[in-house]
Amino acid sequence: MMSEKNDNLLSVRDLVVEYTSGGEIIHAVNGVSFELEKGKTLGLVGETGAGKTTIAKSILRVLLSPPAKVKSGEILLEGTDLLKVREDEMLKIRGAKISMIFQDPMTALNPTMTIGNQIAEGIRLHNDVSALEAEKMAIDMLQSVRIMEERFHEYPFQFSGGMKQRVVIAMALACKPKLLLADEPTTALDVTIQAQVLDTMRDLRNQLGTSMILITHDLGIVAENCDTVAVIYAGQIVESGSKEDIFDHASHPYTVGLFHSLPMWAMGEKRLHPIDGLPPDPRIEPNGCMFRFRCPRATKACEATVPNAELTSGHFCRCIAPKEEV
Amino acid sequence: MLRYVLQRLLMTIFVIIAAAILIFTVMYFVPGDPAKIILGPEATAADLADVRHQLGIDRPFLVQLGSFMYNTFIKFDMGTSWFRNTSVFGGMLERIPRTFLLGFLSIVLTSLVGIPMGVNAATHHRKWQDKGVISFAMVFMSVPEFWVALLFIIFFSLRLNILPSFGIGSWKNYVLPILSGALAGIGGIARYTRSCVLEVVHADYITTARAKGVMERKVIYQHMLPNALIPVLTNVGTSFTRCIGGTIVMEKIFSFPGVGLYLSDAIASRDYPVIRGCVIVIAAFTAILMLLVDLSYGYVDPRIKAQYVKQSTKKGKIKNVA
Amino acid sequence: MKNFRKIISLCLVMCMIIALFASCGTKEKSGTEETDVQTEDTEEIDENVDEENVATKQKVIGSEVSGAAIADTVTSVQRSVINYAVVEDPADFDPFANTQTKETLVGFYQPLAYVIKGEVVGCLMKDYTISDDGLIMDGELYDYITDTDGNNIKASDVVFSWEMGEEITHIGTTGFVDKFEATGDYTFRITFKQPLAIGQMDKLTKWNVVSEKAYSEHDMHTDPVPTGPYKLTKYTSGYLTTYEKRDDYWQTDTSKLVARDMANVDVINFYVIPESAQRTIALKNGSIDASVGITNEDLPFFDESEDFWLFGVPDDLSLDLIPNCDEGRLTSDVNLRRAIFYAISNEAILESVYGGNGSVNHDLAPNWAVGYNPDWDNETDNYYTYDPEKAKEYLAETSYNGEELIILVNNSPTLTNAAQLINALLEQVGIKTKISVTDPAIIKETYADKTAWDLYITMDATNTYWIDAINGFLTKDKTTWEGSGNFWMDPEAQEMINTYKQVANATPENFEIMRDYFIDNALCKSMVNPLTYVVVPSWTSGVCLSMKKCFTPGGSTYTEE
Repeated sequence: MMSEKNDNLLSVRDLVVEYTSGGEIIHAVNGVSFELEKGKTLGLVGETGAGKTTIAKSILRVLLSPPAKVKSGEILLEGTDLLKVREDEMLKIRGAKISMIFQDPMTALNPTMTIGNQIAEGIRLHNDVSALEAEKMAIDMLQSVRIMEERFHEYPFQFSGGMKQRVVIAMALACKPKLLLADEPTTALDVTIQAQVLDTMRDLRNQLGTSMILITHDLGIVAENCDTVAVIYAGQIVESGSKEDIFDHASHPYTVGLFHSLPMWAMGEKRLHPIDGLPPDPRIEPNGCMFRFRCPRATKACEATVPNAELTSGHFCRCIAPKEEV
Repeated sequence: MLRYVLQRLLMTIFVIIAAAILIFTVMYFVPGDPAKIILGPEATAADLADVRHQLGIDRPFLVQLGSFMYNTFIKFDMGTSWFRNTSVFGGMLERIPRTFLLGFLSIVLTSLVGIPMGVNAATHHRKWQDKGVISFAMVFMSVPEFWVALLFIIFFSLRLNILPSFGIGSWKNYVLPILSGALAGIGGIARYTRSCVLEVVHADYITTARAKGVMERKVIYQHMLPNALIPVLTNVGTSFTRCIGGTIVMEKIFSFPGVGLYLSDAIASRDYPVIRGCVIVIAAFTAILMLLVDLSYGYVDPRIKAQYVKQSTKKGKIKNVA
Repeated sequence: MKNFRKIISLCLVMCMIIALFASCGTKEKSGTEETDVQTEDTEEIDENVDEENVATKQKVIGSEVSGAAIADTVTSVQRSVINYAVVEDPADFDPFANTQTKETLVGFYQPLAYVIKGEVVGCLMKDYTISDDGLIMDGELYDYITDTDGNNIKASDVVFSWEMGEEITHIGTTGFVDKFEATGDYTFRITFKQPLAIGQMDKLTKWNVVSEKAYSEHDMHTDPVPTGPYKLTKYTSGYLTTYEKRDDYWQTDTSKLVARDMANVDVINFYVIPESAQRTIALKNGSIDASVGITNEDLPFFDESEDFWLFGVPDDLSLDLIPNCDEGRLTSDVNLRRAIFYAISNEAILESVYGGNGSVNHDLAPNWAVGYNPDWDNETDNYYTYDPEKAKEYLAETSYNGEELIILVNNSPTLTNAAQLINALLEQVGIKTKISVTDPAIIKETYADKTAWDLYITMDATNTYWIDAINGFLTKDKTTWEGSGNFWMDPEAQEMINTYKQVANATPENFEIMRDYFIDNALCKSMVNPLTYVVVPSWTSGVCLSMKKCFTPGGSTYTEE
């Protein structure tokens, strides 16, 4: 993905991340590259354990340093390689230029600090304002996520899941970041609240012009919210492109398998069609196409390194025998 | 919250009174005739009857109980020690400050040294600080307090002769008892703090804080510790309740004339008024300290405070909104 | 990390196991060491201290400045401070408190007189006479006695003190005193119900005298007003009592001043140290100069040390074996008692329980008691000698059939050791016993229950008089029941001893009669009179002891350090 477009906000190139645990190395991210344009949303799709959260945390450099380690790669934010930036510079970027929302709203907030103060803390870190002004700005943020001003001094345990997530969103967007990393923001919420939260996020993003990387395993959410999509399997991006490319022209056997496994009640199907097998053990050093153990179309040639083929403009697929359009 | 406090206060008073009744009843039924104990076997029957009358133990049980309760709680007269002929209350007044100081300073020292040690160990997980703290804790939690005390006496009092080994003459007399009492505690608190902090270290909200751009130091002190230390403070708070009653071993070894030694001597010589007085005082202190500690939790952890408020209101004005 | 932890855990476990085994061996060691401390022959009342000994340096086994030595004849350097360890907190300074025998209170208040080995040495009392019929005693006080408040002590104060003593302390003179009244400002008269018996003079003179006025003005429990040479200047309960020498002490005639009333130290600090190990440490690191109650294991250190010497005196108490002579018990059979007594070796007990520190008793009282006939020490056969063959012979004459006798003893380590040894010795001749260890607080009650024990092992006070010792087992003077201290009931014996106790009848011949009766009936066996030691610093040249064998700092003599 060596696009030369200048309005790329974020550019990740050949990111490799490893974890060491009990003397063994876990290959979490094995050479991931993608780009994100300003104001757009990229959906990162994949199963649990595919490496999506690791990618997001590497961008923000909040991985726990032992045991995780970024082995190689570049993460360019508007041209600056975040992996080479000094820690004190990084502090200014976190929360201000890039923010992150985490998966479980129940544990994402500090239980002994009022929600208002948690938002205000972020504001004061990145803006030179007094405590009172920060408080006012925090209240504004709360109102923009439709939480009443009076609740500023309340503690997280006094809020429900959906409200907590809205607080987290308010906190993340309080300093008007350029990039928002949302790691499965609605997975822990029920469906009706999901819609609310996603709507809130979309409104705010439109207001502020924030780009977003939305990590999820729910294709429905991808369809509703994303501009571009990247599919991850075993720490590698196996297919990427625009939303239409992926949804209408899925080519990689894994992507095809994902869509097939969606239950299609409308078509009268009575059984599910999961993909056979399990994701590979991340302790094994990746070699060749890691999907070959489960791929119905695998051949001997798949054991060699697979190049990333550009099927159509912007639509990439890492397979030597992508599904042909019928 | 005020309501909660009042309710608890009432319960505390009730507990103290119940303890008084219990100890009186127990001592009443314990075998042994107090008059014979005081006068010895050579006393004549007339003398014994005389003493029994003086002590008031020839009256029926309920009358004695009533008079005891009245004297103790209304007049603050706990009677006179049978073997020392001094007022029990006076004896307690002298000794409570000594024991309290000993117990209190012991716990303060334990916390001041142990908690930072634990935090240090947890934030340098798996490095030498961590290993050092664990070893220290293991060693000092395994050895008995009195052994450590005796070692200190031999070393500081006998060999180096810089600290006294008995009594309460000056501040120097407090050093060794507090030190030996605190060592085991330091190990325990350090270990406990370490594990509490480790639990918090991997919490999501810590990552959130980092993701906001908070400095690592602030992350530790403003986000990790306030949460991690809540159970630790619970632990420390509980040890405060044993401030008065828990010093007996140190008092015995250092001939430190405090409440513990008073009680232990009284038990050995069957000095009933002193035993009763000591037990009541210890119960009262423990109950009150426990109340104070519980209230402090409410101050530290807002979730607990909400619980207290909820408990004490009949129709919950619950602030939880979906 | 895991391996590291495993190694440490293993090391700790090894340490604990080793410690467990190490501690097992030491328990019985205490009895077997021989300490070669010499003691002064204390039978003579030594009024003159060896002048040379006072001047020479330590390791002189100083003579007991027995409290009777007259000040003129004893020289001492005035000492400014002495720090002394006591076992119990005085707590109560009242002159009439039951706690008169506390070390701190001895020598603080003063009595009418001191009776030392039967001889009356006046303190507050200048002189006395007893009428020919023995029923009246007239006494005269010094007229210049003052207490620390400046009150002059008069005969009325003496009568007041006597009345208070009887009422509060139960000194026990109302049994033989008819009247006690003041006959003048400084003279008083005591009328007796019958002529004085042995030991009654002691009781008559040893209680404390204070001014009635001072007693009403001060609460003497905490604010004492004594007549003695020291006043109380500081008291921290449980820790320290400080006495300072009085500049206005009333007895200025040094020829009348007895050692016990001397103030050779300006300031005495009594530190309360209940644990004997603590006392040893305090002596070693200099916080304390002198102390009693040092354990047998620690004594050799002080014996060999340049800075201390040991002063040993026979304890007031002796180890006694009291049989239950009540009809309901097996031990009511005199042959069984004889068998038991022959089976026990006093020497063995002295060696193993007391480590040789003391002397064996050949009679009910130790041989320093007044009235003891030295010939008794050489008797070879009187149940106080060990003879297992005789024991078996006597046993054969009883109907004993292997039943278990109950030995009652309190839980002190020394007494339980003695009980175990006795159990073993009796087992050897075929008498089975069971040891019942009892809490000291209720042992007196158990003792009073005649169905609860067969043999009682205890430390008994032998007082100063031989006849007083056997008094306890022949009369009901010391018990609350109809019988003597071993449930022996013989009204004739009671009569006999009441007669012989009177001073006029206290002849050696009568004593022999009593003794034969006693031994014939095997009423009690006294085994050992142990020594108690006081550890004193090397600059003490002579040790003064009070009536309860307590170290009296003021009366002891000192040299330059």
